[in-house]
This record gives sequence, structure tokens and C-alpha cells, in this order.
Amino acid sequence: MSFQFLGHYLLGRGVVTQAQIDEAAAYQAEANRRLGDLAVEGGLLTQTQVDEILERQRETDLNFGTLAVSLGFVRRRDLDALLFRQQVHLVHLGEALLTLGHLTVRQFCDYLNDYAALERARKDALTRLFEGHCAREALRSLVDTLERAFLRFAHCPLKAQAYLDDLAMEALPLHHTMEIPLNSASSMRFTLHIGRDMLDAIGTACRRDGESGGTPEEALAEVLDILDIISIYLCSSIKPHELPTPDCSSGIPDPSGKGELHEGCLRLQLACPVACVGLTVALVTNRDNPKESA
Amino acid sequence: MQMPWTRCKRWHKKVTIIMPTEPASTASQAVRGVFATETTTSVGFGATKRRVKQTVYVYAEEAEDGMMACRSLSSEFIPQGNKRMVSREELLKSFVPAPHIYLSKVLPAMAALEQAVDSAERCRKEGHLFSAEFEFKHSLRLDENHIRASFGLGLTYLDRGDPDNAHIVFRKLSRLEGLSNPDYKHLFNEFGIKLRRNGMYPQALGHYGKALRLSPDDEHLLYNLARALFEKGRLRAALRFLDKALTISPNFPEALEFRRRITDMLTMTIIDDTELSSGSASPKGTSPEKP
Repeated sequence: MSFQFLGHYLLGRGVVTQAQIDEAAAYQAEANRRLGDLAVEGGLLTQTQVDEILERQRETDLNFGTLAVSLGFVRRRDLDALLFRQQVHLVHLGEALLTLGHLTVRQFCDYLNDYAALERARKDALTRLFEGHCAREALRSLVDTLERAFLRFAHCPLKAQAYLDDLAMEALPLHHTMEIPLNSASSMRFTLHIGRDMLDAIGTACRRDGESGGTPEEALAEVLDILDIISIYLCSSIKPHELPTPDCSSGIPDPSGKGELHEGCLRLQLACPVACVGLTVALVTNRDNPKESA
Repeated sequence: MQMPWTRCKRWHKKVTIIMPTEPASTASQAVRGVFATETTTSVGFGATKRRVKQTVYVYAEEAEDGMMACRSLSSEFIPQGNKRMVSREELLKSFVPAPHIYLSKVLPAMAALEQAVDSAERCRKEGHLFSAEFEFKHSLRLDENHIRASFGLGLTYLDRGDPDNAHIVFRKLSRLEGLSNPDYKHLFNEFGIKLRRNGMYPQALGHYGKALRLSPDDEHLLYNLARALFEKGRLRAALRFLDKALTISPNFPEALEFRRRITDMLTMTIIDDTELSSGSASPKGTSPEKP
């Protein structure tokens, strides 16, 4: 896979092996703690309070700490100390590889700098993709929220990568469409294009958390539930934003010049290390009834 | 230069007899060292039940008022956690000095920590920002409240254009104790400059404010504060701080130039206002919104 994740990048350059990446990922999983776990361990929150915050997160785009403070569970100063502790103890993949002796200090410096430059280029390319679009704020907000939603509910670190061309879209046969009202006259209709690998990835994450059912049907139902949660979360998160009325007719051109030009539409490919998702967005000026399909 | 064990050794020998009656502030040397106590706990059940002796160490530093600031020691023998203030009598009732631990474990560990922070700072100055982050975080895992390492990590994030993580460090720094040492003035100033360059003006102002509390007559700090105020659009406040900087250093060229520039801008604003109110005011007498 050619997506820009540090592991792929290092593998592509032959610096590390897949076994070393797996070992480093296991090291990270052991070392990195979630804020709720840290708070319970420090006696700042009870498990019941953590569960309540997580439940509320399904309906709002607020992060865990902000919700904990707004619900009066922790003081702001305690949260600050906790966030700092989490940050200081957070082990990135590069650091894990360095600690395990799979990268030298020199390699760590050089490859991470090179990778950071590629990441900057990716972000610049995305900025260009959004540029000039009348609803770029709404689109950017949608993409950011989608990345957070997949991380929160599917434990999948999704990252916007590039324009979704026709070939990539064909490989993602499952569709899940929702509509977010922007204002009284317009709405944003978005469709998630999902392939079998993403369903498997979400299913694996569910099994790891002990949430998924035993049979394949139960597992699939669980995955579809998560996609529903993500969609509802997106709708409730985007709605409160003050967004401009979209009035463009030009749409976003395919930067590679290969794909079709869709009027008023954004096509984007997002990926996590093991799977990808397509996102197509259409701005609808006379809102129809919201459609939902899976 | 403190001589940490000259007095504690004496206490160790005659701990029940010699108890200083005067606060330490009148003495030339403050006490600093490791104190130990033994606890006995039961582990296991039934036939496997046994009693285990455990030595608990605390790191204590004498404060100006004579109270002892005690912190626990980590497994790496680095003082950690919040300070607990106790009287010397209270400390010595349960603990005895453990100079061998201080000299053989704590001092080397703290020296190694300082060296690690030095190395991290070198990495940051040479532009190796990922190595710097790694080293600063490694130091902070040993001592979460290490001031220099906290500043260093925040500066590294700002150098890398990562304001979100810098903000986490900033919030932690704003609550850290022990920042009243004038040596930290430069760190506050540097942090303020980086925050301003990253567009984090309120945070920059906060840092300059703290630096000024440590050194109120530093004309460079006053100038930097004026710059942050200027970029926040608070021209008159910026002018006041520039005036103060110029009172301290009348030939400060950058401040003179900056002052002239702000004065020109304020004059232009006044002329604009005059023209708008006398010439092209709206029928209702309100001035049009300016860009």
C-alpha cells in the first residue's frame, strides 16, 4: 500500500521489516495509555464516569477531557496534568523502533525528518484540493470529524490521503450515505465508500475490545452499528458549526487530471494502515429527504 | 554551593539529641538529602505468608522558612511527585538520613537527567527536532515536573509548527511550581517569542508577563511584550510598554523605530476617524465598519 504512514514509508525504504514494525506496534500498544485509563489509575475518575463520558462522546465532537471537565468530574488543572502525562509517555512508532534497536539514532533523525517533509506535502496537497471551494470550511470540518470518528469508534487512525479516482472507488463497493443540513436552504450529502478490508479492520478492532459477536452475521451487524454511530456522530458534530451557504457550481477538479469532474462534489481517499475509505461529498441546495443506505 | 550532608551526618549520629531550634533561613547552608525509613508488611497467605522489610526513601529539601519539602523517589532515584511540607522534627521522627543513597544513587541520577536535558537542548538548537522531542520526553518520564525539560519540549513543538501539543505543555507550565527563579526568564522569553510567531498571542502575553515578574526592568522583554500586543491589535498598550522600555534604555534602536511606527499608525487612525465623522458619516451618524 502506498499510503503515507510511517510504517509503510520505512518498509518501502527497506529500513525495517514487517516483523519489526509489528514488534514496535505491540510495544506502543503496551506503553500508550488512554486518558480515561490514566484518570482512573490516578483516582481522578471512576470507571462509571469514564463510561458516561464515552457514551456522551457518541453525540458530540468534544474530546474526552473537555467533557470530563464540563460534567464536573475533574478540575481543569488536574486534566492539564493528566494530558501532559499522557503526552510525555506517548510512544510514537519511530520512538518504539529506536527503543527496540531497530533504528539507529541517525536513521531515526533522517527518516523522520524526511517523513515529516512528505507529511507537509500531503497536507499542502489537501489544502489545494479544498482551495477555492465555497464550502471548504464545511468540507474540511467533515474530513477532520471523520478522522476523529473512525479513531474513536472503529479504533482506526484514518488519514485523508488524496483524490479518490474511479479505479479506487470501484474497489470500495459498499456505500453508506447520510445528509447533514448546513442551513435552511442547503445540505451536505456525503457517502462513505467502504471495502471488505475496512469491514475486516473494524471487526478486528471490535473483537479486540470484546464488543463483537461470535458469528460472522453478528460481527457484520456490529460493524454496521459502528458505521451508523460514525454517521450520527458526524451529523451531530457538523450541524452546530456556522457554515457559509454553498453556492458553487464549479466543483473540485481532479488534480491528477484523470478522473471526471463532479459538480459541487469532493472526492477523497482516506486510509488507515490496513484499509482505506472513500468519501464523496455533494452540496445540495434544495434539500431532499435524507437518505440512508448501507 | 550547598554542602548537603555536613549537618545531616551529625543528625544521623545523634538524631534524638541534636535538633536545631532556629529556622534554617538564618543558617548558611540549607539541608538537602535523602531520608529513609523501614516498613514491615505481610505478603502471601497461609503457609506462604511472610513478613517483608521494605526501605522507603524520601528526598527532602529545606525551604526558606525552615520547613522540609519532601518528595518521593522514583525507582530511578529521581525525586518525583508533589512536595509535602513537613517540619524538620516531623521528618526526623520517622526517617533517618541516608547519605549513601543520596551520594551513590540520587546525585548521579540527577546529574544524568541534567545531562540528558542538555543533550536534548543541543538537539533542538541544531534542528534535530524529533531527537529533541524523544530526549525531552525521556527526561520528563523521569521527572514530570522538570522545568527546563518542559520548556524544551514546548519549544520543540513550536519549532515543529505543532501548536496543539505546545498548548498542552504550555498549560502544564502555567501551573508548575518553582518558576520564580530568575534563571528561567530567558526560557519564558523564548517561549513567548515562539508562541507569538505561532500566532498564540494570549499565551505569548502570559509568558512575557511571567518573565517580566522575574525581571521587571528588562527592556528586551518589554519590547517583545509590545510586539505581541501590537499583533493583537492593542496599539496603545504596546506603546505604553515601548515607552517603558525606552525609559530604561533611551537609545534602544528597535524600540525607537517600533514606537515611531505605532505612533504613525495611531495618527493615521485619528485622521481617518476625523474624516469619517465630519465628511462621510452615515445618515444615522455611525461610522462605517473599517477593515
